This record gives sequence, structure tokens and C-alpha cells, in this order.
Amino acid sequence: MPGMSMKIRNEMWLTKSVSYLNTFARPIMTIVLSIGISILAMMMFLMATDVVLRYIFNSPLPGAYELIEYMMAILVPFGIVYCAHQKSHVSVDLVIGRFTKRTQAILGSITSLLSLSLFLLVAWQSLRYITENFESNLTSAVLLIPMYPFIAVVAVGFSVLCLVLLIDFLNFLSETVTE
Amino acid sequence: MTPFTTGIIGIIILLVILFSGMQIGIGMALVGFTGFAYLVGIGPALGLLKTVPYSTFASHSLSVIPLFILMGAFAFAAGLGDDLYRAVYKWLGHLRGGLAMATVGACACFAAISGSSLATAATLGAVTLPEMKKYKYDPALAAGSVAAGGSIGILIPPSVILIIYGIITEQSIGKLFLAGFIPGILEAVFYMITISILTAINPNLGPRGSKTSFREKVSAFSTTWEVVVLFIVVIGGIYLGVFTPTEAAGAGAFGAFFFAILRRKLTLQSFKGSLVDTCKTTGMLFFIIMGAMFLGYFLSVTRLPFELASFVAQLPLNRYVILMLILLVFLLLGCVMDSMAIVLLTVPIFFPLIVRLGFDPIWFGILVVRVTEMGLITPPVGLNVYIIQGVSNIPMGTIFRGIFPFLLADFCEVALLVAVPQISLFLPSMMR
Repeated sequence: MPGMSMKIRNEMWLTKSVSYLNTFARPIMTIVLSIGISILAMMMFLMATDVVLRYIFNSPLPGAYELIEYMMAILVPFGIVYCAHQKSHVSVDLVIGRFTKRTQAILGSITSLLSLSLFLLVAWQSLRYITENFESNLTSAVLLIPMYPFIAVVAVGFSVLCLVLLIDFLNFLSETVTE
Repeated sequence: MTPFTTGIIGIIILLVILFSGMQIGIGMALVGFTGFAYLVGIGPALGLLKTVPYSTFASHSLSVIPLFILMGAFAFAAGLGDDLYRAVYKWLGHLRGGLAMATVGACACFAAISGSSLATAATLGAVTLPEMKKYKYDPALAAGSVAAGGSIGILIPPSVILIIYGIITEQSIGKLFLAGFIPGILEAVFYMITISILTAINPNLGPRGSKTSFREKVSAFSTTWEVVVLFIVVIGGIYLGVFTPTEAAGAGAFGAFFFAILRRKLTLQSFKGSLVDTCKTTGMLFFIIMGAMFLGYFLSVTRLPFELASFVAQLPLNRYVILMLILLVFLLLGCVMDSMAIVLLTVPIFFPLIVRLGFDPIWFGILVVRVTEMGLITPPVGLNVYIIQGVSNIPMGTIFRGIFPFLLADFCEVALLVAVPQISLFLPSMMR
């Protein structure tokens, strides 16, 4: 049947692109996670050093406040991306769990496509925010570290998140076709 | 369409897409963005997408969240959960249902160094359930006591949910922490009373353990001095105004890290594991927080919270009836949704009303946390129940059966907290 072979070809195309994207995403995730956990460890040591210097030697670390802010700008988006890749973001699965596999796959395709569209917009806006900040040359108050590289980190985070959401969408789509 | 009706429609659409399985953070962001674009214009809405994520992430005050989670992770890696349980058991084990009481007591102590219920339930479930099985405890009572005890985790400080509540309502996090302390202890006491009533009716549910000498009792406690030190440094520091919450969280995380090394429990692997888990949980929480920020911009344009406040405030109802209805909404949402998401979703809507009715915002925060916490153990979606099932393989039905008496205790405690606000407000009123 021509319809049948068409369907199988579609499926193959989908599974192939999913597995290609996955091999592409895996090393990125390793990098994202390593940076995320290093920053987290540094945040802890920085905060502890600041506390000791402030209360024992009465001389706080200059710029600790803004350093923490910049570290958060790296830790949080990378944490979000890693969490998305591990499929650990929370959702309400009480109702959807009662539907058939096929309905779940269709709903999943719709919601993941909506999610992807939203975060393509967010990523695009974050990229624009980098250039704006680069031009206005905004820096932190004490250490005068420019802000734009950290906005760039957020933009990178959202771009990788789009990749994860795209993989999710294609997965749901291929489930919709197979079920 | 007036902004008010747009707001109502937005919330209905949000509920529909959340129940269709969209991730909670994305659903809130999507409705917030489209609603804002509809009411104000696409340009300003795109502007929100540009600035809100960075300003939410790069926040000094929110950095307490990863640091407190990290503290709990290191405390777990250090094996503090196991030792706490053994120590409390030495004191309570000879009573009927003593193992279950020790579980609740250890949960309360572990809550003092951990900011999350799920972590508390997972940590202690893994330690206590095998012990209770060994002593032939009724599986329902065993599972019920861990699931319920785990929910003390978000009331006794530090508490991630109270931090979030403090930030969205602009209340002092230090005061909220102190306010949660006595209600948390009281919760543990209520659970222990529940266990003693249950085992008095049917002694086979939880047989007595062996007696221990006074010397053993004291020496058991000496293995848990780290928990005491951490708690005093973190919460005492905030109470005395020595630390800001962020500094306290940093010092606490480092302290737990240091104790884990001191106890020779921290391998490179468990160090990395603690960091990875914290990174993941941080991402999970901030994804919802970011969504709530977008939704908040939309809701403030609709003026829905204020219209609702003035509408409800002029109803001919006693303000306690309104409070009960609000708490009922929290309880029902708690049955289907994550407590963090509930607080972020509904507190901005109800908070103006609460202030308008003349209720204390700190006290209301404790009530909200206390009630959403009950959602962690109510069917059909009790996250603690899944966790207990994950570590023990006790069937879901049995766990829910075991939880039922504890839920009754919960209702009694909430009633007491509502009737006597001083239970929550006494400690914060003493703070400098």
C-alpha cells in the first residue's frame, strides 16, 4: 500500500532526525552540566569566604554581591536546560495519564510545539538583549565586569533549551505516527 | 473584553493547558506572555521576554535557594539522616510505635537542615522503612509515618517555599522562617500522638523495641552534634540578625560540606552527585519561578487580584469563612499540583485579599505552606507517596490507607494554627 510505505518512511525520517539531534545534544549537555556544577561549588566557597572575611576579619570580599548575581545567571539557565534534558520539569499528569497513548502523543505534540515556539521567541529576544547591552556597555557596580557576557550565557541556555524542546516535539510526533 | 475578564479567561486557559500536560513553568509563561501581549501590545510583551529571564536568574536574594538545597544534599551525603534516626530511636524505641515516632522525630530534625519535603521523605524513607519492616511494623503505619513526617520538611526552617512566599509578598524571610518553627514542631507532636493512639488501639501495628540505657541515649545524641551546630549557625544567625538569609545559606552549605568531609563520607562521586542534584532542582524551581514572573506581569495588568479583593471583602461573610474557603482552594489544588507551583500561582491572586481582610501576612504564609504540604500526602497525586513507593515497593493503596490518620491530625493542627495565631507569630515578634 502506498499510504503504508509513506507512513513508514515518515517514521524513519523522524526517528533518524531524533537520534541525530540526540547525538548532537549529548556532548552539549555534558558541558552545560560541568559548567553548572562548577559554578555552584564556586558560589558556595565564595559565600563562605565572604562570611568568614566579614565577621572574623571585618573586611568583606569586594563585589561578592555582584559575583553571586553573575554566577546565578550561569547556574540557573544551565540548571533549567539540564533539568529539561532529564525530563524532570514538573507537570500535572493526573488527567493526561488516563488518556490513550495516542491522545497523549497528540496532546504532547501540541504542547511541546507551543513550548518550542515560546522559547524560540525568548531565545531570539535574549540574543537581541546581548547586542543592546554590548552597545550600552553596562557593567557591575564595584568590579566593573561587563554584563553582556552573562546575558549571552542566558541566551545560549535558552537556545540549547530550544534544542531539547525540539527533540521532545519530534519524539511526540513520531509516537503519534507509530501509535 | 475588559482586562478583568481577560484575566479570568487567561486563568481558565492556563488550567486547561496545565491539565493537558504542559510543563507548569512553560504554561504560566505562555499565558502570561500572550495575555500581556493581548492587553498591552506585542512590543512590550517581547520586551518582557527579553528582560525578565535575566533579572529573575541573576538575583542575589534568590541565590539562597540553590545554597539551601545544596546544604540538604551534603547533609544527606554525610549520612546525618541515618544517625538522627538512630539517635531518636534510642530515646523513643521502647515505646509502642516507637520506631514510627522516631521516624517522625528524625524527619523533624532533618527538616531543620533541609529545605524540601521530598528530600526529607526520600532520605528517611530509605533508612527507616527497612528497620520498621524488620520489627514487623504494619506497612501502612510505617509508610504513613514517613510520608507524613517528610512533609514537616517545608515548615521547619530553612524552607524553600517560605523563601518564595517571602519574595513574592515582600515579607521578611527571617521572620517567616521563625514563624514556621513552632508549627513544625507541633506537627511532629501531633503525628506522634496519632501514632500512640493507633498503637494503643491495636498494639500489633507497632511493637515495642528493646530498652536502651541512659548512657546509650546520651552517646547516641553525641553523633548528631553536627545537625545542632548547623541549625544554630543558620537559623540562630538569621534570628540574631548576624546573617542575611543568603549568608546563612552559604555558611550552612559550606558547613554541611565540611562535616561530610570530617565524617569521611564525601567521595568525589557523592560530592559531584550532590552538586548535580542541586543543579537539577534549582533548574526545576527557577523554571516555575520564571513562568510565575511572566504570569504576574499579566495578572497585574488585569487588576484581577485587586478586583477580587474588593469584591470578596464586601461580601456579607465572616472573614474567617473567607479564609477557610481560600485554604480549601489551596488544599484542593494541593491534591493535583506541586506546592511550589500553587504558591506561585495563587498567592499573588489571594494576597491582596488577605491584607484587605486584616490578616497577618506572616501567619497566612505559614497556613498556606501548612495546607499545600497536606497536598503532598493526599490522593490522587501525593508526591511523598510516590517517593515512599519508589524506595519501598509498598503498594500505593496501603500507603494512602496509612496516611489517613495523619491527615486527620493535619486538620486538627491547621484548626489550631488558625485559632491561635500566636503559635506562629510568637517567635518572629521576638526577632530584633
